[in-house]
Amino acid sequence: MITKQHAEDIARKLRAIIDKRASAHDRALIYHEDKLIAHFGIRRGSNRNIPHDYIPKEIHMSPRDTKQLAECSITSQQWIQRLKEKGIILDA
Amino acid sequence: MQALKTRQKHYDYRLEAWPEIGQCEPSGQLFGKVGEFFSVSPDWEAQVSGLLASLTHDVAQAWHRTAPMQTILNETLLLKQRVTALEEAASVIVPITSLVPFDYELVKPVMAVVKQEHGSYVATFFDANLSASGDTDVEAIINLKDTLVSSLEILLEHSETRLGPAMLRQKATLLEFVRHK
Repeated sequence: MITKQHAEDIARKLRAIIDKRASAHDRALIYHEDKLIAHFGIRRGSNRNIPHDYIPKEIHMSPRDTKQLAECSITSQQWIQRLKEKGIILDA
Repeated sequence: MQALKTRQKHYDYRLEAWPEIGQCEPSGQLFGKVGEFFSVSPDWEAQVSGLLASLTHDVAQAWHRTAPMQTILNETLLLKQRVTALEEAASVIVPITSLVPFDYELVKPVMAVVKQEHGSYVATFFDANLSASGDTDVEAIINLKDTLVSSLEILLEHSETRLGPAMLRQKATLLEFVRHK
């Protein structure tokens, strides 16, 4: 299970900018070379164990790899590389 | 049991009456001598064998009676677990036809898929790859509406040169469904 804690760790690791305009979810905006490449929602609230199993879809990763990204087995550079391979990020 | 009863009745520890080493005698005669102290039934071996056979038979019969029941119980437990997992994994399609109270309206219905996951509900609009969660299915849908609107606003605030390919697709999809009032 991907939790809110994982979501926050991923946002921090990918240096996301947090947008707070929505009422229930903050949106973590992820940029690469000044382009917005992905964003995902983080539920508001103090419970860090709230499930966030939709995040893998929004960052284009499998649930297993998303957890590894949160737990530092996968680096942000590796994540960028995978998105390039998928065409989510285009080389300049 | 007869052999044991006899043994309990006659019991004598007189050491001088025990055979000396090297003076072991065939079992028939030994039984005669041992009988002076223990009065063990001469056919005790056959009796014990019979008791063990009877016990084995009773255990086997009890096993054959209870094993099928235990198997049924185990299978039932497994089935219950699978049904619970299936119920939790079941998803429902919810058409969203309004974006009230936001200043946006839907050009056409958004088909949201609502699913229960780990005690929460997640509503997903797959076309735009957007999801939101809530403590109830209703809450998840309300939060998805909020997510649709806020995501579109964020995307519209970026020029197209500042959006990656996935974000351009998402923006195009949202604009097909959502417009400002």
